[in-house]
Amino acid sequence: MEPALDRTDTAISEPRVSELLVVRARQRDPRAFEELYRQHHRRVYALALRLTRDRGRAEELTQDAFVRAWEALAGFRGDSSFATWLHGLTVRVFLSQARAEKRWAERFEASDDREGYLVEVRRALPETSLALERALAGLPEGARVPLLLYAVEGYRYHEIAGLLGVALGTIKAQIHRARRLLMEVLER
Amino acid sequence: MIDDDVVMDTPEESDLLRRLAALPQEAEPARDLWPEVAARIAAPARPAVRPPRRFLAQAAAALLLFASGVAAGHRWGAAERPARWAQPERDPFVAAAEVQRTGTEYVAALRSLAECRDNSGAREQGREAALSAFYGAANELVRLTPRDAGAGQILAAVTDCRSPEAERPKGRTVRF
Repeated sequence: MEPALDRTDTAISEPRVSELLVVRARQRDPRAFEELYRQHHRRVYALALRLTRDRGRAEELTQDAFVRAWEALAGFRGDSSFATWLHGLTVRVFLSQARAEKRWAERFEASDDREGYLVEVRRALPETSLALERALAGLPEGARVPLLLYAVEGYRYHEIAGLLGVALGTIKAQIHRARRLLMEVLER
Repeated sequence: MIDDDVVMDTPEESDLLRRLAALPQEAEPARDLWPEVAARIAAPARPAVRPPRRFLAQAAAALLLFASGVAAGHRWGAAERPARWAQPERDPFVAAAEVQRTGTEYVAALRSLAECRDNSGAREQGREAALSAFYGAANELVRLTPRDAGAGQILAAVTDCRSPEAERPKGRTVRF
């Protein structure tokens, strides 16, 4: 079987390999894209799991994000790293699906299987602080997602405001409230 | 945390932010998700951005078709059957039978549409609804049997059918 990618040139640094993979993936090379998937899927899945709080939906979101990435690669100009671009795209796919589900709520049974989520957190993130994950997962949606993006994913206020489509002041207030709520839960 | 504004954190808040930032950021899924991604990207590239209004129209049309099928099913004598899909725990044989029954209704609804007098606008709407429902079904089929190349080819073919904008007559997009 042909190797997935020729990486015999050890003088090429990892970031450079990633750039080459992106170039080849943009040229519609599925093997290069699979290599990108193998490099980034764990990071995307962790984000998806915390966003959705559901193993099945996190798996679907991960797949949807990569499919969307494949479709949108032509528009990736390299202004940021591929990883940054991919994570932003994952968040946008999540938000788009969440809005659609709200709109079509009657088609979906509301699922909030907190214990099921924590079982998956234990399996997939064995090193994590379960108390913190539990407290974060229990926050109201309007507080949880902005705080997750800010404190765990490292987004800045204005970036979150852009992603969520709300005013900068609103985001700051939501994150402030989320932090307070989280501290209250953890102090109990 | 450095941000675009100076935020005065209490020591407790700073500690909380440090703990949140230190949470692990990589997790291995319980199963290999790549085969389904590979099957989906095997389809020809779709436009990067699909107009949301168009998506809504397709989804609404699919829902209309589905509702019509359910209504027709009741009218044709299925009214006494309990709503089994509301049950949380389902017998797989019952679920399989449900797939067969609704599939038959889907085909019957399409046949009925095809037998209608020619109304190109309605036929286009029906075509879009049928393709949307078929696309949804193909996605579920791939989820059901992710390693089945045939299922992947069906999904790819349906995706291909839904994609080319040029094939659709302009000005006939159904708006809801």
